Amino acid sequence: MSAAAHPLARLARSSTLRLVGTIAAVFLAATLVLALTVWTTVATYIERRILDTIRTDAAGLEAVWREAGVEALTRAVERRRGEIGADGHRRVHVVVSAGGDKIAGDFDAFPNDVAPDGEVVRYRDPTTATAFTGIVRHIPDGPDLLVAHDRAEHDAVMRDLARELALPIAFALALTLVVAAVVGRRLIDRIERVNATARAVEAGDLAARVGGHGPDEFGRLASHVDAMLDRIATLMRGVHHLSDQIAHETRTPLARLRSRLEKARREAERDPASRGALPALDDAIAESAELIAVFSALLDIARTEAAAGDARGLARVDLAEVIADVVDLYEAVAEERDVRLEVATVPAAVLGERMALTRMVANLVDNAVKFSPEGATIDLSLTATGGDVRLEVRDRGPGLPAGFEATAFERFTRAETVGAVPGHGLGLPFVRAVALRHGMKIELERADPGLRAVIRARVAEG
Amino acid sequence: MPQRALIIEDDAVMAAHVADLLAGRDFACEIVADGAEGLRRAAAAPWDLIVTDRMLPGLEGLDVVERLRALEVPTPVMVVSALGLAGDRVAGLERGADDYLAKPFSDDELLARVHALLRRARPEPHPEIVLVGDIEIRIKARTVHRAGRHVALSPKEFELLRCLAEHAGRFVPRALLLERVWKLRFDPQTNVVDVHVSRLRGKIDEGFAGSVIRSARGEGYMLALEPA
Repeated sequence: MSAAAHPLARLARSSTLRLVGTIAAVFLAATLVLALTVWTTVATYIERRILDTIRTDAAGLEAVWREAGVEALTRAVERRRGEIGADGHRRVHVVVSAGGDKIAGDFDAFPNDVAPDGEVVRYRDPTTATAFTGIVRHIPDGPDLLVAHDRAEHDAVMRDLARELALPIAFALALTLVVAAVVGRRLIDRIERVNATARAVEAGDLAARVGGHGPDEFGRLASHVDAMLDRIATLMRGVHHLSDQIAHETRTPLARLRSRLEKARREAERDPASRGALPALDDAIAESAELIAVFSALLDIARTEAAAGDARGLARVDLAEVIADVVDLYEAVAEERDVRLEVATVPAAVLGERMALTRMVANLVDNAVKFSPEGATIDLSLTATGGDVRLEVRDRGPGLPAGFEATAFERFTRAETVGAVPGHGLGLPFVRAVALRHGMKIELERADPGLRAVIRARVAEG
Repeated sequence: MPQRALIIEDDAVMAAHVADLLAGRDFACEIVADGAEGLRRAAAAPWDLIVTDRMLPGLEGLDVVERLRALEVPTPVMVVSALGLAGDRVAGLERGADDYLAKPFSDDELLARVHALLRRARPEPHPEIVLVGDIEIRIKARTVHRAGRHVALSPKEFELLRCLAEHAGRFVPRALLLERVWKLRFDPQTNVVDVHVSRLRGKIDEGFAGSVIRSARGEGYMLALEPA
């Protein structure tokens, strides 16, 4: 039963949850893309500024060499060693002659030996582990230059930026999750209300309504479902009323017919001249009794069906006791036909009308006994797992012909295979009506050999 | 002195029929067709039995019963109604009716029920020993002897015999047996009662020439005062 599934498992299959989850994920992804764009833009901007400064420096040093020669260049480099630039970056200048010998600077050799002219190089100072970005300049007919800047400042800016971005992202993430949970919960609750109502109606509570009719689509769904249930209730009341009318209008003439026949019979008995009419009167009385029986059975079915969903008059009934009562009634008949009734029950109380439930089980056992071959066994079992009760009546008779399962519960339907077995085909319809009235489920299964009637119910609460 | 019965029923044919049946049991009957009028008459004089329909002009049958009980009128009341579902019966009994019979009914059933109703209404205690012909039933000890010979019966067979013995000489309809012995208010499709009765008959008649239990046109059974 899906209603009994674990709530978390049901939540995992929820479309609403998936929808809300998808929206939240898209929102989070958009936020992350935005943050990433900001990050790369800033990083690119800072990088370009560093490189611009380096290029200006390199061009300046190159001008010094052209105008004042190597000596002036060496002095300029020495002056600028360890200097902190206007942009706050430590500059490192390494000047190397065309032959590869060091002229001035921080390092003995180029970190990148054969970097082509104008190439941007990144490296770490092996002694201080400081990261640098630099540009290589091979001055035609002159010395080779490497102008590099410490990346520490740049990295610090990016770290600050990361911190600045982390807070709004975390906030967006938290907000998204909270809003998704609240909105999702609200949507699921509203849909679950409709579902719970539908389940209650299915279980027999025709008075159940969704309520909470708002102007939005969920409110409209709720009001439509409620309007539909009101309509069904009105129709059911109509059927109920009609069956009461029929009961009154038809039972009375039937009762008169019967009493007149009985009176005629009594008079015929007293009058020797009309004794010849006795067998015909007996037949007529038997026929009227038959008619009344069929009519009563039909009315019982109709009124039991009409009572579906009406919890009035229902009490706790132990199905094990019901089975015991029915066995009490049928054991003699079964023995007479050399049929054994095997009973295996556990106490299982359901909410119901005891007489109707007894009659329901009696009808099933009645069928089983009627269709059992001599010497066969009928199994009556009652099991309870969790809140579910399962009542089973299994015979070893001919079973149902193929395709008969669907129509077996229709009034006056009898399988062709039943042959001379007496009946009107009103037993199973009554069984189904009682099951319906109690919100129980009934199924007929082929048991090969035989038939298995299974009734599933819910344990009475409390 | 004949007993007095009040019949509250708006269907004249039905009312006449019930009166006719009760007259056969030595009742003097009076018929009222209106519920309110019925209540007035029922309260005005002492009756031995009141038979009422439910759907009546003036006042509903169960309202009549309820008002009578509120007035502390103890007369046994039998409701005879076309509303024959279990819930209707329960409602009838809860509101003060002593018995509830669904229309249409058989004559035997009405008479057997009236008989049982009057027995219950009588203040005298239930007898410990019931004697029918040569059959001796001890209620407390739950034993049965026929012509001094012990007859071993199952509990249900004992109840069956006891119910037949209470109505000895009259036909007891199957529906009443089902109700009294098995507490069932419906007629099973297979004639389970017939099988139980035939077993009882086999045990009680064993070694005797005639049967003391007779069947009535397939509708019920009678414990005869004399074997056939």
